[in-house]
Amino acid sequence: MTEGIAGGDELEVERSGGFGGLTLRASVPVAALETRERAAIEQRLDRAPAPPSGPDRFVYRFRMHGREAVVQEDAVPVELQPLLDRLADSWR
Amino acid sequence: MRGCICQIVPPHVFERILRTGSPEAREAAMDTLSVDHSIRLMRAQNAALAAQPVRRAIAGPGGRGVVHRTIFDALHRNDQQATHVLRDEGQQESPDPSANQAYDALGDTYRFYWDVLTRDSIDDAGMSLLGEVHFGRRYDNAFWDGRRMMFGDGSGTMFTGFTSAIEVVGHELTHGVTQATINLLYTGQSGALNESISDVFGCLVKQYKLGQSADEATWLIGEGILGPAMHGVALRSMKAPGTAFDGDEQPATMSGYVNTTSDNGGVHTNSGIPNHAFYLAATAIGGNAWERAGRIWYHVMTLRAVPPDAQFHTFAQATVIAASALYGPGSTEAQAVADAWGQVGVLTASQMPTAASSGS
Repeated sequence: MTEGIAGGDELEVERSGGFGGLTLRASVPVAALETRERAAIEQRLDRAPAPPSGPDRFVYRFRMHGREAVVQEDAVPVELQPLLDRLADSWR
Repeated sequence: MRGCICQIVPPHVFERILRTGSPEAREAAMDTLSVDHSIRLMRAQNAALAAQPVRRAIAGPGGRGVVHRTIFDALHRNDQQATHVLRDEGQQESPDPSANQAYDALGDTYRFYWDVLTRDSIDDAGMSLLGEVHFGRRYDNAFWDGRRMMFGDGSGTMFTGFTSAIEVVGHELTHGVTQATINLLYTGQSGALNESISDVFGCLVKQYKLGQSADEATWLIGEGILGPAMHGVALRSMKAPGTAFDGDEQPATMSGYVNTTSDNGGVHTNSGIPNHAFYLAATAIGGNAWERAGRIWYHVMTLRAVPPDAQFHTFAQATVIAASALYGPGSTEAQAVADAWGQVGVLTASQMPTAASSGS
């Protein structure tokens, strides 16, 4: 698993699953997050993962400051959709 | 040790093992009981099938064997209840190529299930096939949501769309068939089996349409949908898991089983193992894969011969029992299926239920 760059001031996002089953990652500085984006992630950190949404859906994992949140595709809150849109070309 | 309590132990001994045995002995006893249960189910099912008239005879307008498709336009939104119809059953071609591809591929998939397995749609009761194209924005995915199939257009970099590959459409529709039958839990090994069953029947839909035998088929999933950022020929290879594209991490055997928390426990990764087992069985049996190997796998589904949390070995044993029930214990087909699971490291010789099923 990828470790945080320079002491964990990055939000790391992993997108796995989907028909292709590709596990892709992207990152963004925590400082660059909108307040409501950061709040939406923090609210979900360390929660028990929800059951899978269904076949071939994506699964997102957000890692921040050594903690993580796993969010199934159909449970992505509206606050985080713009962040995922910004990451659309960064998956690697 | 498993082999010795597999077949000839009386029920009261099983009960004692279940109450007081070591965890391993209990697990082995549970496996055996589930095999027993499968055999009883299979006998009942075979008797019922023998008593039934050929269902195809009642196919006709408005009856069984008649497909009904509707293709909606999701208008690039994440809308799973889109209402804008691009093409309904019997309508002329749409100006939208994705709509026609989805319409045609759903028709081919329906035709496969009806012609080959006498299954009347997803629920075997003529359920309408509902597909949405242009789902989401640059959406690199396709999925079954329990009622409809969603197809993204792809980002253009990783994927170029999902309706052009018939096996992708067959894969998604088969998730519906699995849901309606053995309803495998979408996590870990049962999730990988769920995925594998979709790949197996997705491939068979394509092979049936093209008239390809097991030897002639490519056994590739997602052929022709990779964008320029992906280097390879497809997303998965049942013939040679792990070789479809640069970065393909599918194992072909249990020695490569991937433990991960991503992708609901690697359901699209470890599906390589049961995928390869099917390929090995189908090519060892020879001829058209849908005629015997496909029928064996489908038998396990329609019999509901495995529980929703089935692990690889439980499913494997059920396929060997199904092959024995359909083609006879000791038949080429039963042996090919058992050997295939042995080659991928799922069943050891002592776990193969051929001796148990020979009493049927």
